[in-house]
Amino acid sequence: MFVLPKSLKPVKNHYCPGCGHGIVHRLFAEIVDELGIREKMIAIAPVGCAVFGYFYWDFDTLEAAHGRPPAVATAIKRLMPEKVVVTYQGDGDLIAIGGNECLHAANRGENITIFFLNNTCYGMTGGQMAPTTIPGQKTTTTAQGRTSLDGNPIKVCELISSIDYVTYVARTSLHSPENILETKRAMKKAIQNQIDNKGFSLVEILSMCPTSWKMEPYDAMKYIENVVSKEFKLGVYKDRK
Amino acid sequence: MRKHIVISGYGGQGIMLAGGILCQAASIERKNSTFFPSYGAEVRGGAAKCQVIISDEYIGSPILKDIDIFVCFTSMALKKYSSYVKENGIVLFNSDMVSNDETNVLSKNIKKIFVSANTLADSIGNVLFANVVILGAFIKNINILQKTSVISAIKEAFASKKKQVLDFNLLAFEKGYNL
Amino acid sequence: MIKLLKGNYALVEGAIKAGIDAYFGYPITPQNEITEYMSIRMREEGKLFFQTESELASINMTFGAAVIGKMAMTSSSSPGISLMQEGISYLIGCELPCVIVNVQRGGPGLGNISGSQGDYFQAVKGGGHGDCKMICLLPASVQEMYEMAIKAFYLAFKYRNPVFILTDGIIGQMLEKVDLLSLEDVLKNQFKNLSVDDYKKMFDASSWALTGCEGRDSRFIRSLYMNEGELTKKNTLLLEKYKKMEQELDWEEELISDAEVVLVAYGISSRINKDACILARKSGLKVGCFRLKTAFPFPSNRLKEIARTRKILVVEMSMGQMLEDVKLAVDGVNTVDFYGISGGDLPEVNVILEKIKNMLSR
Ligand SMILES: Cc1ncc(C[n+]2csc(CCOP(=O)(O)OP(=O)(O)O)c2C)c(N)n1
Ligand code: SF4
Repeated sequence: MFVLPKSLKPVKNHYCPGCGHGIVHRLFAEIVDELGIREKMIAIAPVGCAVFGYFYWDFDTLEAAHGRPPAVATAIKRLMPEKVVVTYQGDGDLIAIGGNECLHAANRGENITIFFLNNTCYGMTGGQMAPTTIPGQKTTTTAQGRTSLDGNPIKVCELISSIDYVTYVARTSLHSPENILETKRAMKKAIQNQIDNKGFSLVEILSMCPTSWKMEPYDAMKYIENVVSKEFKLGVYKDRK
Repeated sequence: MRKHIVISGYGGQGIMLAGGILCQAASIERKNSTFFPSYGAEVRGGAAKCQVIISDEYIGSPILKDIDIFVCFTSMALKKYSSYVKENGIVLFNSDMVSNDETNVLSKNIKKIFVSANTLADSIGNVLFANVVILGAFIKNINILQKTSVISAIKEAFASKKKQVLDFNLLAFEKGYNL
Repeated sequence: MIKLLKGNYALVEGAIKAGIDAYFGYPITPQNEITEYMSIRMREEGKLFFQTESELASINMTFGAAVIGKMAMTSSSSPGISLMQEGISYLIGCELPCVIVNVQRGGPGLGNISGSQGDYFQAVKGGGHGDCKMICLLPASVQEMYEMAIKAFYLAFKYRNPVFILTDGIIGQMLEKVDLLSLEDVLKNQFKNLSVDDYKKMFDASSWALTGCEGRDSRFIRSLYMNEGELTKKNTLLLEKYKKMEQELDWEEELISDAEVVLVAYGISSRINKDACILARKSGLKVGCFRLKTAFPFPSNRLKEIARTRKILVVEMSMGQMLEDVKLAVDGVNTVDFYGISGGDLPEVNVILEKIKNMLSR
């Protein structure tokens, strides 16, 4: 039977049909319920399509300036180590404007959790190129497709896992039920690590943006399977004991 | 003469294009016109809306607070904007998307025009032409713009597309016009 | 060539007409069309388009282009401009030319994405730390988005200082008729007397830009002056430059001579004022319109003169920012009334008319 997690408000979300944000929101809420940490949660919504996370999650949530959630999370966690502090960020937020904050939070091994939703574009502002856009992918600022002059996709997991103090880094996807389950496992582990005081965890989740990709929802899932996950290889990149 | 027009429905129904054509046609007739689209996060979830003002006089704000003519493509749009339609205003419905009953929310003095735009568009090959079918009915029933200038505006709008696309759109316009 | 364009697109066409070399931008609503259309037009023109990783990068890349004498521009909307402020101050301190565009949205914070005029203080009272000034242009139509882009580049190079275009989400997003005039015709509209040749000559940066010192002494460009009295001296020179900028003052007034109440505004609000003014006149009320086309320099003298015999109503999409400058200008010779609306909604003609009637009956 379809039961709404306690940590999810019973409201309709604003996401486009077939968008991955809704799925990850639900997984996040389920995990919070399962770990019984709803009262300890402090979540940080990004600036991006998920900015309205606080309308959907039924736990304490705030909105940080664009790209700055890891800095905000650092302060919160250091001042209130008993809380569970999670940032939820898109690719523009995490690795374009916020690359520096992410890098330094990782380098300090902050005991926080980052859920990073990679949809290869800027959804909220209308589908422009992101640092994660696939070579050749057409966006509203790369009408002819992304070229090498625009850089190559930044591989966040590969990059962050190379940092000594980082504890856990994994890349998962939403393009099939099995992958969604795998995503949930990784997300849960990333939060459990924080509860166990193990340090910095980041889960990158490949997600559909049918609107910016100009695809039907089903085709968007296929696109992840056939293209996006070939560029961004799934797997656990680091699991420090 | 000053007319406030709102066109609303889902993204992908050609809402913006229809509004742009009206605005351009007015400009061809040397009238003043403005066009204001919905944008950004407003269009997440799929809603689309544009506001067009056509006037013989100066137009200050392109944002309108009341509606003379409402072109309504979906029930959602009807719910959202019906209360803004002026007494003695006109609403054009895509009656394939909005049922007759639903339109009862409108007051008695508002004129309703029903166009089965999807069906008509389908009959020439693609429901995507529904927006231009409605434009045809709009021009026939509401006397603010000349047919010839709207046709010129349609031609400009599709100038960069294949000739066939233009021809279908002109056909769609005639379908609506000759209802 | 008459076209129907969005304000954001017209601005791009203006910059291209001016001869822009480089554009840097990071997506933000309601100015995305500038970045998106630039990505197409600049490539067509063989010029540099660059989507940056943040507005910090945008302004500093703009700085880089300016330092080598290129015609550079960046655009953003309110939160992004906040991020740029440090860089803007460096551009001013280093006396570098560039064009910065703010398509204002609602604030504070993330605010909303509709048009607003809440960044007047930010743009006009400096734009960055230190004693900063920038010429600030205020377009009120799609046509002016085109023409003022052309004007802005010239003024930036004339004074070797950033020029700020302060517009809003409504002007940026709306479509209306625009005449994409030849450079010659735009210069006629925007300057008293400027030939195309003189316009183009202004962009010769060979006397100051860092281009490699082949055939000349090496140069440096800086904003750090640590020796005793050095910065004071530098800033005195800057002040003299700011004073010279006063000559770029520009405004427009209508139906002032017999007016009893004058509506004062800039940008989108000034259009609503004009709507109100037309209606007021129809019902026999003596109302005039004053529209600022520059916020710095500010038309203080003219406003004071007008206020001596007329009541002033400032209409603004903020809680009262330009209002303060109007009050300073009017300097107590008459009362200044205010109608402000903050948070992305537009002033309403009815309310303006109501206010006018109240003022007249006082
Ligand atoms: C300083 C600043 N610059 C720009 C923006 C505009 N902005 C809002 S969301 C966004 C990018 C969102 O993309 P992403 O992080 O990939 O998330 P998505 O919407 O795709 O989920 C941008 C650039 C802003 N709010 N603040
Ligand atoms: S634009 Fe993309 S990321 Fe944003 S809600 Fe729509 S599908 Fe999701």
